[in-house]
Amino acid sequence: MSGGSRINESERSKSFFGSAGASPSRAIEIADLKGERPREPLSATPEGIAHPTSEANARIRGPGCRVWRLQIRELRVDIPWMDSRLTFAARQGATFHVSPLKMKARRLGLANADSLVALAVQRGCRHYLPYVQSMNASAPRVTRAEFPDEELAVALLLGSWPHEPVMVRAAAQLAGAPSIRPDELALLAERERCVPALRHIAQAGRQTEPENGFWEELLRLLPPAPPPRPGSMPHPSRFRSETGIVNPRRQDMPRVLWLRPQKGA
Amino acid sequence: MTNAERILTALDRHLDHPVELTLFGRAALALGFSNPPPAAERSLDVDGIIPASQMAELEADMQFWAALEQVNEELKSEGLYLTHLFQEDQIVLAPGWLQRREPVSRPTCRHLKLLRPAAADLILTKMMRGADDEDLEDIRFLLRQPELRMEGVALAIDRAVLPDVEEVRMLFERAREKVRHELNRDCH
Repeated sequence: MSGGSRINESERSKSFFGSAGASPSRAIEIADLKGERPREPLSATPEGIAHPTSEANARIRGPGCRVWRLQIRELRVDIPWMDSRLTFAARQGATFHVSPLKMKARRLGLANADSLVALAVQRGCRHYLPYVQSMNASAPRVTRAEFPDEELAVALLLGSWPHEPVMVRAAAQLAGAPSIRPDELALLAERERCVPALRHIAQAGRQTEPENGFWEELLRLLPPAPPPRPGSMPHPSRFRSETGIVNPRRQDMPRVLWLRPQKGA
Repeated sequence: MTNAERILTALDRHLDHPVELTLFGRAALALGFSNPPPAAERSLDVDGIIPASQMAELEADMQFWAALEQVNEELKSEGLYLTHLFQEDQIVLAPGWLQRREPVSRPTCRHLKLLRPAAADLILTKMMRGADDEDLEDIRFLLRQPELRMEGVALAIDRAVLPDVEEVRMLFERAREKVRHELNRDCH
């Protein structure tokens, strides 16, 4: 397999259609919606939309119907960011180390990257609940005394994980929590070789909310580091909520909000 | 006692069984050679290489990782730490590096068995960042070591195995020119 992956019908599979410029290498078969199978397999275009023959369409939905639901049984495509061999470090143009923090997480029952995201959701990063649900991920109940938020944020940024933007976004959300200690976060990032990624997040934070001294303090504490390779990190807009619509009666309502963990988690 | 000795002594104290650790970086210079550069003795951390043959065993060694955690917590207030452990495929080394390792006798340990790569292999590891000024100073120190033969260095550079990261390859090539200049200078 050259960077291909088996896809199931999940939010993730739906989202990549039309986004990554995937070039399908295998036809999609329409599921048997009414107990009938189409005689001809359908081909997905790069836009991810199947164009059945009018005959097959009519058989499934009735004459004149143009709407159908695809159930993808198997699709192998070449999408670089889904290459399981490509680590976050490699995406940034760096090597990775055998992380003591990762070993600690494993000891606490956080065996893989998705379990870290699940723990972040437990701690209030509910923006990523759909991802956790789609991946059937879970995490044991780990207290903050056992695994502080600073350690969780840095663990999400470890270079040895397969590249997954949701992890960086969850780390960014955790980093924005009022309880985060910038000195502790910076120290851990340096020891676990996550400084470029955390600098990227901190710079985005400073740009988003320049009045919040936390980001400036974090940037001051972090050692200098070359920036990550272009395109290896989520765009800063992924770390915040942005709206172009503002209630004219609420002039104090910001257009842009840094995503933070919800309280009570 | 140097910082590296303090870190390793603490780790040795927390271990309850033998562990082999291959040092590299400035800790290897500070402890593995006579008359190390003063800068090497001031380094705040210890770097290690985990051979592929040791990886599975060490990953499963929970007591080692617990001991490491305790050491880092114990020395945190002094800014000392040991977190940079690399699998050998993440470091630039020449084939056969494992067999060319030399023992490190400082500090005296009960559980830790310390080793370092040969001088030529250590030079390769110093070339991963393009041989900046700091690394170049360390390379010059290594080039002066009695155990080293210039032709051995040239051979190691030619046979070096690099991690599959484009930036590392670019930086190594940049360093190659600098080291070649140093080798030519030493020959004259």
